[in-house]
Amino acid sequence: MSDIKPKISVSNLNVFYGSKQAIFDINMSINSKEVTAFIGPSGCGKSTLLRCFNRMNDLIDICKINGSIKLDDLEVYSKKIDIVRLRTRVGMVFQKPNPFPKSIYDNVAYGPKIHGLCKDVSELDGIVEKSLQSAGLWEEVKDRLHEPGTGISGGQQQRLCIARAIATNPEVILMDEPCSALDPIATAKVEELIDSLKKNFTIIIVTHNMQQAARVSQKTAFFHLGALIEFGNTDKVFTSPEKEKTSDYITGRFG
Amino acid sequence: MIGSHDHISTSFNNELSNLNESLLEMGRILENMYEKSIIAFDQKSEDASREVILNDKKIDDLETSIINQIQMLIAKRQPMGVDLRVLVGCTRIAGYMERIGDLISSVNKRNIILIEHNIENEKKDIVDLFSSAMKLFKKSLDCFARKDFKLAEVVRKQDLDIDKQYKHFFNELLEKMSNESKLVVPGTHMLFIAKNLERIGDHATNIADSISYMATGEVQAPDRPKISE
Repeated sequence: MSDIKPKISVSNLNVFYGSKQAIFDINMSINSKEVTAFIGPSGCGKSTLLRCFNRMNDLIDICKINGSIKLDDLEVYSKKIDIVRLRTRVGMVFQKPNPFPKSIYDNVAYGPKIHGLCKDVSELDGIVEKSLQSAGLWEEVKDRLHEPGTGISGGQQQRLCIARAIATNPEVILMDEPCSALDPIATAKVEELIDSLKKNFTIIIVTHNMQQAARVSQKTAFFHLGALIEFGNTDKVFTSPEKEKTSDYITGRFG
Repeated sequence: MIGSHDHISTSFNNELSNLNESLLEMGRILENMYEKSIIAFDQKSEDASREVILNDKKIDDLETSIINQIQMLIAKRQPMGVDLRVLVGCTRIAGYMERIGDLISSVNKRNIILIEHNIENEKKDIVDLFSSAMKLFKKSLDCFARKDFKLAEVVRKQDLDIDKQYKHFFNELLEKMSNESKLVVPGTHMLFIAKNLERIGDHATNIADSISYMATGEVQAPDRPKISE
């Protein structure tokens, strides 16, 4: 049964890069253990919003935000928050697979090790195996765990990054265009993986591929010029959206 | 086409407009077949009926071409939103039109048999049914050509009149047939003709409902009022 309380609640959120406003007064609730897709043209603010959820925007000096983002009851932008701890709860997978220049094993073991999530080597081995299994990669790499993570195919690298993200047992996984650098088969494997991961994680995915959003998500949010235009059940958004702007975008009529 | 303005891709626009044109062409041929059927029935013309029956092949071919076009559009464009609904709607409309072609063809096959029978007393009722179904069918084509889903409601109401006309004709003819045995053979053919015309009215309504669906996304049209037997 899905939780009634939202996993993430965004209220009156505004984000600025210097004097330029990137996000305008966004309010939305992200359900727990569901896949939510963010779609919209380049520059619409979808990645900016995604990066607010684990404060990746803190790395950009001129980025200022006001409003509220709550992860359960935790105010994400509170001054008291431990950002490192936040990022173990909200993991991230990027557009280009970016494994560490370490072995496959160490890529996955890194997070649990530095966060002290395991008592001994055998427990760590267990986490690595479980994470690689959840990422659908175990069978392909179990005999070469100590080879470099950068030596496997692009699709495998991306699944390795997903295994690395889930190794710290986060609650939310943010995915920023996770398949845009992958071929259709590797994409299908990642989509299959997203589908199985939603049993245990809340997933938010930014994608430019509308069919992908329609395939993997239960909820879809459409953004335009920094505003949330429409947010609803994926089935509805892609067959009969409420707003003309959404309709124009998903049918390729944006001009 | 339904949808606020053009796509960024001009070839997508062209493909949709070709599809639209194919359906309009199908409608024009059916209209022609239908008009000729009324003449064939009224003037007991076997030649006219045979010509209509031959034309049904064109309808079948057009349906095949439309389904191929839609298949290619889905494969190439992976349509969403209103485009997806238009393609689903056009698939259905092509199917209904193909059925109307079959029904017109079947009316003409029976007409050829009826030519040697005396049916003067029943002729007017059938001609009336012909013209009611014709009006309805033309209105559904208008509805498609203009993508005016509000017309769908008008079509739906008129279909009810045809149903009434048909039931009335059916009951009267049945009574005559039970009193007059030489009416059984031509009467049976006339009952089928009347039934086919009534079915054409139903398909015209289905076409109008599909246009409504394309525009609004409501799959289920409200229940149609039915005349009890």
